[in-house]
Amino acid sequence: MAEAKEDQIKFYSNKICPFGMRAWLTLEVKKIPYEFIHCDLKDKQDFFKEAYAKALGHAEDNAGKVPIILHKGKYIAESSIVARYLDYVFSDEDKYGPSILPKDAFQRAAVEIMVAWFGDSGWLKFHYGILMNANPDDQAKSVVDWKKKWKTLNDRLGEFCDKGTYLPNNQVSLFEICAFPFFERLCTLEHYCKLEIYSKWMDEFPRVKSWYEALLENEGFKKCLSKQEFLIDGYKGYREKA
Amino acid sequence: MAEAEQKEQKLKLYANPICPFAQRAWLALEIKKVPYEYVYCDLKNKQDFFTETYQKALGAAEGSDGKVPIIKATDGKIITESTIVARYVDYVYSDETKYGPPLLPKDAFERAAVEIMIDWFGDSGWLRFHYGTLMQCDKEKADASVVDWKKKWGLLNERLKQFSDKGLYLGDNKVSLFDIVAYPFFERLITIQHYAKYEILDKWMEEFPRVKSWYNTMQELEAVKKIKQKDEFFINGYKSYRERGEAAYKKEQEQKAAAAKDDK
Repeated sequence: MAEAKEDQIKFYSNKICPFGMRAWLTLEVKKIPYEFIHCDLKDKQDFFKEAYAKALGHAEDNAGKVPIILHKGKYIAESSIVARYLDYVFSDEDKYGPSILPKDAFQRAAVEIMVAWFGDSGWLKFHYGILMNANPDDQAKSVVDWKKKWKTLNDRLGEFCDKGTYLPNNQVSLFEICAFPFFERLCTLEHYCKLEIYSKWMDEFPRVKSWYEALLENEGFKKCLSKQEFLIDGYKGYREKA
Repeated sequence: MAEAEQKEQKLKLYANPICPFAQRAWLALEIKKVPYEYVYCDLKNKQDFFTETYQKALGAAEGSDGKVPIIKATDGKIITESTIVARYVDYVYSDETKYGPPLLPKDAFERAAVEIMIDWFGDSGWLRFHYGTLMQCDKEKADASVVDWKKKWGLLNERLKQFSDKGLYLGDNKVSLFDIVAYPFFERLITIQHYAKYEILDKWMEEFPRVKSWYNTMQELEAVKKIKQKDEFFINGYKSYRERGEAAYKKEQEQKAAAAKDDK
């Protein structure tokens, strides 16, 4: 049965944005048909700003943020919410695979805990903080503090299995979707901050390394990966502010 | 089945009535009429059963020896973190004929809207303003903070209009996970009113009629009424927070005086 045109997803995003990537990963992992509409984040197009103004969840003080989706005539913003929405609507497992929130109540709670922990841990503040601070002493201190979070993550990832994704059987969950984009962008910290994150640093956290490498092999994730040069170039502006 | 065995099978809620986070889980259980046993946890003198249960709990914070709420499900699984516990309860007790409508609505758009509100409430800094205003004894700083907090009240007032101009977020008495997550802090506004002397529950709320309607509707819910604590209980329970604020303020004043002395 052909899906009604209204049922197709219009996906407003920009490949540089890790938040946009959360929604993108969900679309690809679940093989949901969509149209990618590129949004210029520096010179926001009118259609972008109009879509955002109409979007459920739009921030009152912002002209336009990605991701946004348009589905059945409604615009929805906010990366995690978009991911949850897509997962909930496209729930036919025969067509779209397993849900990113597991059926088992305990595993589901565990995924929710990881998503909440990642948000509350200050991970993003460390990530952008280090990228944007050129002071080597500040950087050294931040790295020490951030590695404490890496250790916690390393331990928590061991809940169900000792390698691969958080859930057993390389089952992608909302946690992978929320966290992975920032791990892909560690290359910008490697480049600008001269930190050997993918090698020495990750070797200190083998469970995290195993998690990250498993995701690089995931079919859906592979569709959304960007070249390192693209990301490094894209974050130049952040570093220049430092 | 013997009564003792039946008790064993009931879900256990480890909580303390002073705690707004525990109240989230408590409300979820009461609203959905899930049979449970309330296990009182002393937050100042943590009992062994409390700290031992917490250590085993999914979601336990690495730097804490015990926090509420915790639940021990009927299958023995132990879970902590207030919002996650509420989600778990909603997900497991999903038979609508027994437990009523879900706290995360079936309609995908409404569901997304509730998720947005939960995230917004968390990211808005609401709790920081709440505790900050409770503890800030420097009148000027408190007033400045109130100005900023009221901006958030304004945003909440507007966002609550999404589906209805009165009642709960989804309208009428349709309780959602957002209402449960936010309400406990509103029940404790009396402590800020008492200690910081802001007329939040009357004049202030009048400035935000949609919030007022939401708050009043929550207060009328059977489950909310059942577990509501008295004003005196909260005022007494939060005295130590205010005292901490007073100590900090006193220290600041002393430092200022010392600095002024040095300048002379």
